[in-house]
Amino acid sequence: MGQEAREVLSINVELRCDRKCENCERFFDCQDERKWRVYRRRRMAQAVKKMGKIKHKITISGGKGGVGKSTVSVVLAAAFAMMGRKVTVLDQDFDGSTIPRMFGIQGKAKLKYGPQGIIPATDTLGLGMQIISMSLVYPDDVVTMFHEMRRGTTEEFLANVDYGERDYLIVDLPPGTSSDACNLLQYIPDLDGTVTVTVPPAVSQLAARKATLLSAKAGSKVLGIIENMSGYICGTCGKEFDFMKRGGGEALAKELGVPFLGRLPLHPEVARACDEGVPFVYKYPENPVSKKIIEIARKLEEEILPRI
Amino acid sequence: MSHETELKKLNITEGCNRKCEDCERYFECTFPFREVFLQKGILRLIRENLQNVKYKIVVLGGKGGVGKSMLAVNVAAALAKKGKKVVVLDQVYDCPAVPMMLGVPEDARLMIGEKGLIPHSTKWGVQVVSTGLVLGKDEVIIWFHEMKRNATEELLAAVDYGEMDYLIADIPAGTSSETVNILKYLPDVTGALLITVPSGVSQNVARKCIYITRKAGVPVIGVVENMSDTNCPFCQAPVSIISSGAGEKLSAEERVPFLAKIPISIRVSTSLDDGEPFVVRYPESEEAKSMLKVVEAVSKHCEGI
Repeated sequence: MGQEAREVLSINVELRCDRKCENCERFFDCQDERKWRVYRRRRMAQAVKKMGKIKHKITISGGKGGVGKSTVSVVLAAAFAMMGRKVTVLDQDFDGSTIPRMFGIQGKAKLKYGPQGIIPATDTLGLGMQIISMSLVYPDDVVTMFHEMRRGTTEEFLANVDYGERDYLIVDLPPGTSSDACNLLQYIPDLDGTVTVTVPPAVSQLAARKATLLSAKAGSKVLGIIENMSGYICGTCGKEFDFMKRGGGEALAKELGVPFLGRLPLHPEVARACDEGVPFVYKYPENPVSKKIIEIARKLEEEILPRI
Repeated sequence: MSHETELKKLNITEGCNRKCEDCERYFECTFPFREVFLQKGILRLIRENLQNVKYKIVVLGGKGGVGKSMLAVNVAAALAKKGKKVVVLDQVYDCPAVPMMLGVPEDARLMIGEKGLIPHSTKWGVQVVSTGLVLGKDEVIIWFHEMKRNATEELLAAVDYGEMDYLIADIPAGTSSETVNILKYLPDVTGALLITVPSGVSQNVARKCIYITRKAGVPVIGVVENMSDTNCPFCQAPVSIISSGAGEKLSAEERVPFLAKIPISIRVSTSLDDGEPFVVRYPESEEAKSMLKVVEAVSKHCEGI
């Protein structure tokens, strides 16, 4: 029996429209004008209102895991806070949330509930930062949540948190381009934009590219690309060497026509500060990597973000 | 004035609707109804379809970017080099990278034959099934749980695997959709390989993965620590890129075997970019030697040799 092989054109997983826009995979592709009504009803409307006094809302995405999205979120937030801004960090990574650990408050602080909704935890460094994360609710449990529950959590964190007046909301997204990333882009319609974090290898750009394209698809601006783990500065001799071929991030930025924000090399002080639970830009402000982060924060505020 | 109370839980739990295929609490469930689900429908089809696949390994890490795909392709290539028939099932739907890591040309497409989808053959004797061979480079997919589950069902029930020694499933980061789906749908998983990086921060989620495999009743073959210590090429001082030793600590605490440390090296990343696994390209390197320890442990666990 001769085997006639044909190309697989699509995976057979399409679902039909059930008018539940808040739960739709094709929300961003949808041409139906009625979809915008979703922002006027229920939790979506509440989310828009609760976040009304936050000046800038930025997501940190990467598509790929382990590229340093959480680290970049934390240090960028700390850099803004050190510039005197009021900053909130929202950890949208529910399965593997690490933000509280990086601030040294894991297991120590918990989210509280007050008359205006959930009260964020605060940092212990006196920088006035607010932190919201799943592991401030469930410090040790395994979180297994499929889409519906994830959306519920996103709603809870956006529509039911007492943010108050803030300058920056920095949202740390988990890897992937589905549930969490999409939920968030959908729930914050007036997002300022996305910073994509990537690492140097070419293979990592596959994911970074898709994450960047997802933001574009959601109509959100791509603020720029950061190439993290780009080289290593030896703690002993101070020389820099590569353990991944550098340049992937810059090439991607050029290809997609978005700003390249800079390379962040690794440094032993960075790793140490991370494990100790102190943002390294706060602990070692004179470190070459910290200086780069501060430079990126300035660049974002002065050149890229709209002035308010 | 305002009184504050600690937030004990988030109000997002759903009740039982007898849709086991879609349940978050599947592994904890003790309802008799679950047995019915195991015997009929798609799970039966999958079991029949995979009956000639001898050993099924899942690669997990919980955290992203720790080297799950790197481990999957290198273990697969090393097993293929030993003459085994191996297929890598790429469960990463959002950003599949396995085809590129195995040197599959960008325009290669998954084909469908009389008996179902045909796994793509690579130069290294490893076959690959991936949505990267269906979707274009610029095609962004947004699949929520339901669609991902359908894709997993499709890739397990509708692919013509034929006779295989090993099926290696590469699972994306996280402990939800894709991880649970594969542990639920892949019958009789032989073992799980867990990969992590040396930093303390990464261990929380790696530990959660061990808990999930326990819940699902899958034995852990062992823990691999990636991006481990190396030496500075200029002054030869020892360098810990991320920090050190947390993988060994995790394996001791959770009482699972520690298999190997893979030192961080530019050879690892360039070999992946070029689509030639380092066990093939640099068989004499430190990285490849560590990887062979992992492969030995896998063979021993599965075949008893």
